[in-house]
Amino acid sequence: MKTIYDAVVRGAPLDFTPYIDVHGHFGTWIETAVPAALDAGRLIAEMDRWGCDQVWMTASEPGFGALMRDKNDVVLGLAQTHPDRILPYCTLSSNEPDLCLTEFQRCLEYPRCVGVKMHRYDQPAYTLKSGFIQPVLEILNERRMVYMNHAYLNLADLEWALSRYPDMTFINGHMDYKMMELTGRFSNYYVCTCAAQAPNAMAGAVERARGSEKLLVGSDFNLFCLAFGPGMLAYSSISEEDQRNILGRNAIRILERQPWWSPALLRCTKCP
Amino acid sequence: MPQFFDADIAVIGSGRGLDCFETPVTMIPWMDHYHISRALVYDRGAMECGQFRDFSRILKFCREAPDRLFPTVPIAPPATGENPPPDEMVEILLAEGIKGVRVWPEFQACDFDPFNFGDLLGKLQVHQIPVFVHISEVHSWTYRTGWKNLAETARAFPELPLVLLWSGMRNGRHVFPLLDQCPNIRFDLTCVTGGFIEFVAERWGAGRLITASHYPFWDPGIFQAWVNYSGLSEADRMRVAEGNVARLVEDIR
Repeated sequence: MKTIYDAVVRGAPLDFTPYIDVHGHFGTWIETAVPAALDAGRLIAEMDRWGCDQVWMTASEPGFGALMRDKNDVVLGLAQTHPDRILPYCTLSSNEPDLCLTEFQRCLEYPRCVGVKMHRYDQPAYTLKSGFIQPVLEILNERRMVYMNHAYLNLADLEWALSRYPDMTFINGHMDYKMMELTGRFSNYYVCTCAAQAPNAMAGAVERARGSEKLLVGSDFNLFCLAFGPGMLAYSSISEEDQRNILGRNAIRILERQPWWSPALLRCTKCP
Repeated sequence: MPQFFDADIAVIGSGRGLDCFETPVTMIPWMDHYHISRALVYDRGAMECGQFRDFSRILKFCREAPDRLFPTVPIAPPATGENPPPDEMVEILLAEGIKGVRVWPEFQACDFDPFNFGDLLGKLQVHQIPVFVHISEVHSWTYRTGWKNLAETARAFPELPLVLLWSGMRNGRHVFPLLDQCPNIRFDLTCVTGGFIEFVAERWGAGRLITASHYPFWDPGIFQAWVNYSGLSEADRMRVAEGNVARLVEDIR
């Protein structure tokens, strides 16, 4: 059997198992220079070299650079050009709380919007109990979509939301060991591995989550390289099955709840 | 399949909770797993306590696997007298087969510039002994400082091999101008920005990049996977993985 490790040490495409990166950013950045930040061809070429089926993409400077609408248009434009490879999140911001619902409804006009992403930087504090988010969460729950946050800072309010909106999926955008316990208690809660850069961090994550079924690979691609996700996964001490779950199988379980989902969307995987 | 010559692994021990390899016996199988054929290593414990004179521990460590492990040692401003005097220091480096020196300006609370280090840097330049500058030790997401000192040093010693480590994930607007104007500067891959490797290789050549895992701070797999899947030619990929550090070591005279 081919293994992820054997492929990665050779730089061979991971086309023998589903590979879905759930945490990407597309666009330009005020705080750093990203070469060819708007070059979709370069982005897709990197995905092709990896055999990465899909990236769930949010905006650059998410929620704190330019208007939500303008940033979402950049991501939606990319998704329209590569509809099977890029699934857009609608990026919302507490800087524009009164516009979040209408902006989300506008994003929903795109048929494969995967859900909503929110960040924390440079915007007024909010929690999952904040009033402006509720109508958004209600739609997400009704449509069984995804809400990813950079980090859930208020654990009590997260637990409240996980219970109140049981049909949608909540993702913690970055590896956070103290959030792992919730993965076992709530079927609708996942943790993204993005920034799990400590040596063999994946082993610790799987141990604390008591399994690999609630972990999703993410990299911040294209702010960072795609390797910032599977790079640490491939060399870790966890089993091949666990690696494959995190690399793509778990994300498929989330996508299967959407009416538009089809295995044909896995454009790189030869045997889905 | 690329093999890696890793430019930055801390070994022997740490008083700050870092899980360093204490012996080559445990380190070599780990290196094999990561396809690290060779590594430039330093005594983390000696560095953390400001011990700039006794290099015996790192030399002993590397002698146990002389074809895989190569010693490097920390430096301080010569005026402090913490290192042996510059002439003597260079003699020791050459006699003991030490393959580079390291400086942590932020950690050591000093400025890495010609004013503070010039007496030593001039002699290192003569012998092409590489200087590895650990710009910072805090999380690489943060912004770095000291860039003007690095530019000034590179220009004052234009033949001195300078390798900038732990340069940060969001410091491209400092990194790229240095690559553009200081040909003797090389960078590690800590700037994990999308497209970074290909952009640097296309503009300034793949010879300007080296692989350094910074173990035990980070998992080496991040950087290695990035090199393995980069859009470089096979030859350039090998240079970034292994050849560029090997060349630095071979060029010492």
